[in-house]
Amino acid sequence: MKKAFNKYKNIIYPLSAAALIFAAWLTMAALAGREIILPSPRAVFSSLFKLFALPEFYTKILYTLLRTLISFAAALLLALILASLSALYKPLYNFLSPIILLLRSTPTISIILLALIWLKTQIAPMFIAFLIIFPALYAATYGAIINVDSSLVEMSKVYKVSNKDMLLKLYIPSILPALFFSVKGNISLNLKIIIASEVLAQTQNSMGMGMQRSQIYLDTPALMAWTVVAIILSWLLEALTEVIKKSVIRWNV
Amino acid sequence: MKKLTAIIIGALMFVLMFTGCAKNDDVQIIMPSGAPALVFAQMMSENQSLADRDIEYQVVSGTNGIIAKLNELDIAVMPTNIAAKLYNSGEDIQMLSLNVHGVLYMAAPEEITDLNQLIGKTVYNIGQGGTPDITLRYILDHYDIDYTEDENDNDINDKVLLKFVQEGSTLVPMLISGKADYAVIGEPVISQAISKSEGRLVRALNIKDEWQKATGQPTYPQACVVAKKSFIDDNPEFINALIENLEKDVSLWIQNNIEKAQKAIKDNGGTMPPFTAQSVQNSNIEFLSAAEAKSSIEAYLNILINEIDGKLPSDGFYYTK
Repeated sequence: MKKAFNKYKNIIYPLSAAALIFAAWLTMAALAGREIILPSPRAVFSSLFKLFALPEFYTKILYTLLRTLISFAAALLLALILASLSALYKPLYNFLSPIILLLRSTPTISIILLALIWLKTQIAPMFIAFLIIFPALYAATYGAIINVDSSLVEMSKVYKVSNKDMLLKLYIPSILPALFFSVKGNISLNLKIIIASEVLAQTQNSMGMGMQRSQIYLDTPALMAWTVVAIILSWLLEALTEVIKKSVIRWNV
Repeated sequence: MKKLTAIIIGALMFVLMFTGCAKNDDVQIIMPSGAPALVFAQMMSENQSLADRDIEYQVVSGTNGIIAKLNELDIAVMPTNIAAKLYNSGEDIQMLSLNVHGVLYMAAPEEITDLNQLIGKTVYNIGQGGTPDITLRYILDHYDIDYTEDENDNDINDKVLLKFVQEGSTLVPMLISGKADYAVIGEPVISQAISKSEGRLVRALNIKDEWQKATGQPTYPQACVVAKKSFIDDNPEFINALIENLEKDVSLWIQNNIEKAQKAIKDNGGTMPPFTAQSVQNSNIEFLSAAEAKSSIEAYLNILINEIDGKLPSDGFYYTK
């Protein structure tokens, strides 16, 4: 019996947590009384199935995902390049530091409102997400590079290991765990920012507009259905990151 | 001793927690800022009790503010389609009267005598999928004018291009700078935009009039006064007194007492863009009883039928004496 429990505990714990959340939802919905304030799970799922029947449902998800992936890829690429160069050349690091600090300290809403004035509605959400995610990825990458075990670096130099080998066999494997950890956290954040910006920018073909449409007509079940979709997408993105991480690490070893 | 002090302070805090929730015997009248707040401006300024009941007014921001206070309100001003939706969702409300008959206009570089003038142009609107959007589309449909939201549409020159922003106030800098030429906005923002445009823009279309032309209906039912049915049943004299007050020409009073009206709204929590006597006049604030407004409302709700749970509100929605 104990053996069986141990074998399935990876499933039992998350499942119990999910059951608890569900029970809490049912209770709160019953207490709230009104569909408009907090709809029951049944209302939300029935709304969700209605959404599945609409073709716009799929185009909205697709475009929002695309915006998320494009802005994330751009932020990640730039972060990797600049962080690596900053680790190599201290002057570059010193030059970039205040800029990164500026980006990090500017309130998100200021960035959003300004971007909406300057940019087209399709581009604005991606630009906003990029500005918020890039500093985080840059800092994580830079930190990971700097924190590579210096004794190993020393050892490589003593054994006159080639630069190429140092890069491939020491630096990259050391950086990957921290990097993937940062990617996982930031990609969900990226999705959230994109959706929020889509609402403010009134971007065509977006999940943000899908949510807003529900909201202005007080269709709270539909709004929560969209939210459920967003949550599932977040999980999928993080799971995708895990899968990529496992295969990259396997490749590296 | 320390422990005792802690217990006493804890008990005190616990008790104080509930004083904020003390039951208020005043009648709660809640409204969103903007033209709906004008409906009660005179009553707020004069702040008299009616049928021996004192009134507490709250001006909140937007429909969300009203929904948040659904439990505590007795009477509220809200967009007609929201009232219908709430009624269809089982809320215990009844519409007393239609009070805001259309505050939407189009600003443009020239007078529009024929809607075909909009073909090939870009028209900005507030809130995609919202009532101003659906209203404009209905009007365009009536004249068989094609429209699209897609800039890359092949037949763009034969259609009206519809673009959207979140808030009317976002359109003001766009209109002034020339980034936008045609826009549907509500009072009082449109008056602001036109006066700041230094003659470049005029009030080109009256959406209310266009709606009336397209539907043959006597009015455009923008916002109404609703009350909880239980409140109406318990307070018939109050409701009668309220309706008498609403029947007065509040619009004229506000135009003659602009500062008092602005102060009254501000004192009750509302933040409104500055309005002038002219913009008040353009806001079409006028009392129409629920019974008289019914046909206009049903015509309006028909085009929004999907957003109000697929059916028109039953007769019980409309208050009768």
